[in-house]
Amino acid sequence: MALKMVKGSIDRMFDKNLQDLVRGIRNHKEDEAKYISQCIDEIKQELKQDNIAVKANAVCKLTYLQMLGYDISWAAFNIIEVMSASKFTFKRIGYLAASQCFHEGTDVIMLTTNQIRKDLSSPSQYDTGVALTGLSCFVTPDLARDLANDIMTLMSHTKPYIRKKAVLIMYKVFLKYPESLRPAFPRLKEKLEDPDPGVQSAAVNVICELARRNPKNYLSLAPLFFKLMTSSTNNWVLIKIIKLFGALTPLEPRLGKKLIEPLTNLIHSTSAMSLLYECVNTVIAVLISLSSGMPNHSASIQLCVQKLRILIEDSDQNLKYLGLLAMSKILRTHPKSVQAHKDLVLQCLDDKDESIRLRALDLLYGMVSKKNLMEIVKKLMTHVDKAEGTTYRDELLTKIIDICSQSNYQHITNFEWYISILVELTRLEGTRHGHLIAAQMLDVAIRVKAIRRFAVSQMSTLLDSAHLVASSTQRSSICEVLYAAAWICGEFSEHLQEPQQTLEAMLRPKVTTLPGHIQAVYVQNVVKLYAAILQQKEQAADAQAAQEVTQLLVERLPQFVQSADLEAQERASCILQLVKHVQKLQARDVPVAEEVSALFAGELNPVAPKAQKKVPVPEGLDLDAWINEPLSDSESEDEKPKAIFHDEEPRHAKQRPPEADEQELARRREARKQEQANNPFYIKSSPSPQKRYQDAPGVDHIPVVQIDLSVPLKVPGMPMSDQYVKLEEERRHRQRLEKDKRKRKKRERERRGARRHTSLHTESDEDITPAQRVDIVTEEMPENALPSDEDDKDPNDPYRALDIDLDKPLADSEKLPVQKHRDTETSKSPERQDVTVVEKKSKKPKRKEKKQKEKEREKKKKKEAEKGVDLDFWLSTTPPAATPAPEEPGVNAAVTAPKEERRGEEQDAGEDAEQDLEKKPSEQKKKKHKKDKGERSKDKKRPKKRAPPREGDAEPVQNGALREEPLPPMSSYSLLAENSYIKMTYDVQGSLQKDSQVTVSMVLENQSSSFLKNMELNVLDSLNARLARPEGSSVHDGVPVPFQLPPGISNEAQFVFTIQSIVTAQKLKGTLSFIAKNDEGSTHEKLDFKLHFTCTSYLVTTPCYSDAFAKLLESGDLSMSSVKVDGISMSFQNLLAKICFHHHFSVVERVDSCASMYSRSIQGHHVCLLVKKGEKSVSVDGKCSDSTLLSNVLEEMKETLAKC
Amino acid sequence: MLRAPAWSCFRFPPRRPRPGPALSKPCPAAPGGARARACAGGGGWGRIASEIPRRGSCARPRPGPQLPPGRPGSAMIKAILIFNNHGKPRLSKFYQPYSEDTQQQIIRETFHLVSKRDENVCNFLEGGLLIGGSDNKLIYRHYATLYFVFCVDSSESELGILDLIQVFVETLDKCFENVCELDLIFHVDKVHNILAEMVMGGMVLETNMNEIVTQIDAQNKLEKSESGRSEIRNQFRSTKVKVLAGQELQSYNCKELNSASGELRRGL
Repeated sequence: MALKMVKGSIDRMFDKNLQDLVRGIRNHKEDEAKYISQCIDEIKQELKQDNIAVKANAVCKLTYLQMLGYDISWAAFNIIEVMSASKFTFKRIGYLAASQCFHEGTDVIMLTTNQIRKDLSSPSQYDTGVALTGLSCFVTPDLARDLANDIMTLMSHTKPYIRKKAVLIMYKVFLKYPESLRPAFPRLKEKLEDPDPGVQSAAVNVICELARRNPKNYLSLAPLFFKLMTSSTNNWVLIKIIKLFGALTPLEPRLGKKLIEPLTNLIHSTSAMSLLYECVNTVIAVLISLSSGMPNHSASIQLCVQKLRILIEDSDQNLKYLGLLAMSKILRTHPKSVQAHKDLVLQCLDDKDESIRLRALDLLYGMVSKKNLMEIVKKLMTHVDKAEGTTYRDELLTKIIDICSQSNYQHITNFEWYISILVELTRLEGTRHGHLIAAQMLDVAIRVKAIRRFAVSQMSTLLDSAHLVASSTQRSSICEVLYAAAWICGEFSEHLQEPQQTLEAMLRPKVTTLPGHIQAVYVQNVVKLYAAILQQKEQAADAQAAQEVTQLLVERLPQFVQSADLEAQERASCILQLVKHVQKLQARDVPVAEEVSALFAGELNPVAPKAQKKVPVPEGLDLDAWINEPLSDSESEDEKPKAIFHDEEPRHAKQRPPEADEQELARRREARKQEQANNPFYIKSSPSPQKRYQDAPGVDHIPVVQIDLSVPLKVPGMPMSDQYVKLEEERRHRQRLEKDKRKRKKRERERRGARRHTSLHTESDEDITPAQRVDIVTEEMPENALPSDEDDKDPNDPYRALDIDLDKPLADSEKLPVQKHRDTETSKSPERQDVTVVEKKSKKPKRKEKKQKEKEREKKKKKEAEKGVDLDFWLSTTPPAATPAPEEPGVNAAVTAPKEERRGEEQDAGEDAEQDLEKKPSEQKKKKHKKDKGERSKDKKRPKKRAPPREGDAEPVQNGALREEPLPPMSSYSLLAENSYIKMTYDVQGSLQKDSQVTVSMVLENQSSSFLKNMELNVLDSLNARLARPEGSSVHDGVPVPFQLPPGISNEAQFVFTIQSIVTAQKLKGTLSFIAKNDEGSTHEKLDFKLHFTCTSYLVTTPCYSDAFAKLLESGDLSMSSVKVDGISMSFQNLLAKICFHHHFSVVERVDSCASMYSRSIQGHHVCLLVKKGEKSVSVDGKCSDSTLLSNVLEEMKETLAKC
Repeated sequence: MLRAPAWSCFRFPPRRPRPGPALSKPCPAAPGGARARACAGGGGWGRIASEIPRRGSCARPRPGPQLPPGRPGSAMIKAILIFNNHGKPRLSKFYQPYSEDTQQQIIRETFHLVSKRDENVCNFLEGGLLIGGSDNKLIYRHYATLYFVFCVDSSESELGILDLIQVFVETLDKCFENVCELDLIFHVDKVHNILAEMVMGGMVLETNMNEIVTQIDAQNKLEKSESGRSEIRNQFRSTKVKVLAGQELQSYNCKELNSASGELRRGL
């Protein structure tokens, strides 16, 4: 009976499965929460049962409740129990629940490690699959470390279902355990070519995501991805790859050039919209990365813009949206091409879809010009009126302000109009951007002197109107504009028409409802107004009126004294006392106006936001020295610079002489410098170079020099923004007539010369120059302001940890941790163990092993080098990515020979190991064996090449000679200039893609103990050769070197030169200037050099087949020249290698001691050589399509050979 | 020259007028009202915190990995949400850790954003504040009574995700035989299992519908062999509002989807 009851209750509980729970919740709409709490109690009971099915059912219900927002982390342990059930059904429930509620903070998660490992190695693929899926959601650093090896093994599972999941989860493992990236990467790379498309797609997915975060480490994969891109038909994979290329191209412009063609083809051919869109996106990225290299890139841009236009015009809103999104990317670099589609963008502004309107707004930013600004803003203003949602309206508001204020109000011709726009915007209710409008009002009023009168009049009406004050009670921030209005009216009170009225407006009782900071500004500016009124009245000798004003203040100020805001209260009580004092003086008929207005004498100037940070530390001022010995440790270091720069104007800061105990100070200074050097957040500053030339070391002020630029613009006076638009046409016409008059005016003004502003005439592109002068005073910056610091990467970025060089060969220590039993852990790794065993046996094998290891290392090195060569080669060849397989001359004489040699060695390394078991062959025998191997592999490698040299010919002998006498290390870099600070070496390289450009790679090596920075390279251009400078800089500007050099470090910079004629060599004079900074201070140094562009440097190693070569020679349109050099002892092989290396030739054919060679200039001249070696001499016969070029090349070659 | 455009057989279909106002009627554009309904106990799914026994108070933030908005997370797909026209969640899958409270907030916010949009506007949305910063986008589709929302970052192709949603829904349709909201309500675990075959840890795992269905079927078979009971219940069939009914099928991307939707259209 009792048993029956228990059984029944179990059944009932068991019966209440997920569906019943859901149904129950639906039936208890009235008291849902109560019902659910009941259910949770039941679930708790169920979880206490031993039956795993009951538990699983309970966990399943919990998962549902979790979705409804209930915390189920209390059941974490039960979830783990269900996860470890043997049945797949339950296991899946457990893993699902875990994936929904486990996270890194879950404490029981560490209990899962072994369970997961067991499931991963389960024979059932679905057990493994479900474990992988679950793990992907809650993997922690510990789990990642412990399971990385197991997952890596799964990457080569027989089932593609498991493989793809394992590949995908590797990304999560990398994120949590970055050390696993390098050991796992080779296998991940293999998966790119997995036979299963799903696995391949997963691998692409993971690598793309890795590469997106740290693109530079994945550049070497570009050829592989390129292959995939041209071979894959899976659109998902293609999209990922194309997106990846978009991330890679900024790092490697050559890649971009290679991509353009296949991408344009795809754009033309595909009908899948998603692919088309991504192609366009990547083409845009490519074009952005190629600054000016491509002659025909305007065609590509045009294509993109056209395609985007089609998207935008599509009736599908999604395509329209994306079209606009991509268009805004083009806008950044090629605004002209987008501007052509202004009509389309404006049309989209009227779209009913808000997202589309927002995107169109983004585009507007680049569409405005002086001509159409008013028109566009007018349109936006009508949208503002129509807009329903506040978000869109706020967006419109910010956009209006953005486009008007962009590049220093560049497009505004009429600031009165702009002020009226701002005032109109204040009528918006409930906007969040009141502070934005306020900031604009302040900015314009301060920086545009001529507008102040108008601004003040507008602001006083704002202060008068009641609606803004009333709005402060609502949640909107529009009352912020009152802050600006009050300040402007106070500061520029001399322009006020009716100061008395404004004063009264500001003292209205309602004002106390405003936020505290606005009240504070009110109080302060009331006094400014008061000072102005006093002055006015006293000048008019109206003592009565002056006293009345004072009385008004004395009556009204107490309302601020009671303010809840501390600052308003404080200011008010101060000022109240002041005014009372003034009242007393007034009663005695003492003139006070002068003194009161003296409180606010002087003009405020706009200061750039970063100015303070950029003030250089003056010579002799040691910010790190104690001013006074610290009293306690609690004194914060940060306060010191603040104390020094506390004054409003930095120039008043006095240097305080450092005190006492020099030694102690020096020690501390050193320590702090160390700390700062190591602290990435510390903005390192250094005194400017000019500082050195200043006389006294004890500078007692920080120099601040105005870099004031004023832009002359003129506007007629007219209120209300709408009317301005109409007036605009007339005005411009009138102005054209008045031009001469205006010029005279301008000159006059200049003569008057504003105190601090020198005017600078900027020519407006549309020649719109107004009738009233408006200055834009640029923000002040201290002299020698330090160049802006680049934003450091966020140190918390989780992807930073994955910034790992993957091309470096794996070291032995880099292995994924493998689970071991505890007792084996004490012993060394098995490999070591072997060594010790062998060691006991004999010494010889050990040497052997060492050798082998060395070889391996070499092999790795070689591989790495090859990779570099591969990428470069791949990038430098012209599009059809023909693998350079059968004949790869060029570098081959120099590079492939040793490569093959080594390959031979590798092979017999293996065989040697086998032979190890037998008897060790004699040294000589081995050598011969090796040689044969080398031969064989060579033959294998180049089957297509001319018949292998007959045995007994000079060839093997020379090969042997080569072995004995290895090629001296060759470097194409030659010394450019050198001094005690820096050593410059350079190499000039041309490329066949750019017929008039060569790239100069310059290695700069810091030879001193100073820190070298601000390096700048400048070259005196000749008619024939010019340095490519960034857009917009003049021919006298230098090109900055994009890095700094700490002591002993070298780095390479590349500069592009444009060459007109390449037939003669030429030299360019240049200077490298830099700042050397060391402990003593910094000095400004420079180093002159002469860049030598030899004719050789215009040659590009180009492979040529012997039949093509013969045809070329037969064609007869080549001129001929020859040269002979005596006294050469070098082997022919090495000689050819040297010519290949230094003069960029490739061997076409070689017979005995005679070789034909070929090269091509960047402008397409063919250069053919026949090199013959006699007893002690070498003769070179050349044929070339340009005789001057040929004779110059031969001349240079003669020099090289003479050195042999 | 580069390759034969294997997928170019598919033409982007012109947009046809949507049939039947009953199924594709725009959602009630009363976000405030909807929200109030959802939260304030009046028949909604919201919960009254005080009555529920829970570990830890809701005031105390969950320790550990509470990512502040805007910080890059580890997933490319940040979250997948399904909720109905009233904002009731039908499935929520977060690939970044959030506390339950935040999850509910995100669902509410997302519903609020999505539900006020008209039917024929674009399917992309920016401005989900809770679930990440500028890099993120909401990509959604509205099927009959349900919204399918994916929150993704910029590494995903927008149109690709739209197609993925379509694949998801069509897979559901295959697995549930004419899927409707009720299927999702009562078999949320199955929906999770299907989703797990498509998206794993925030990354797209499989986009081929046939492959997904094969794996799901195999797993169901395995499950059946373990317990004799069949879990699938059919009593709701009659009351179903089909999710896919009357939906316009459009694909930006994959050809397999196109053929599948062709079949589907024939079937409907």
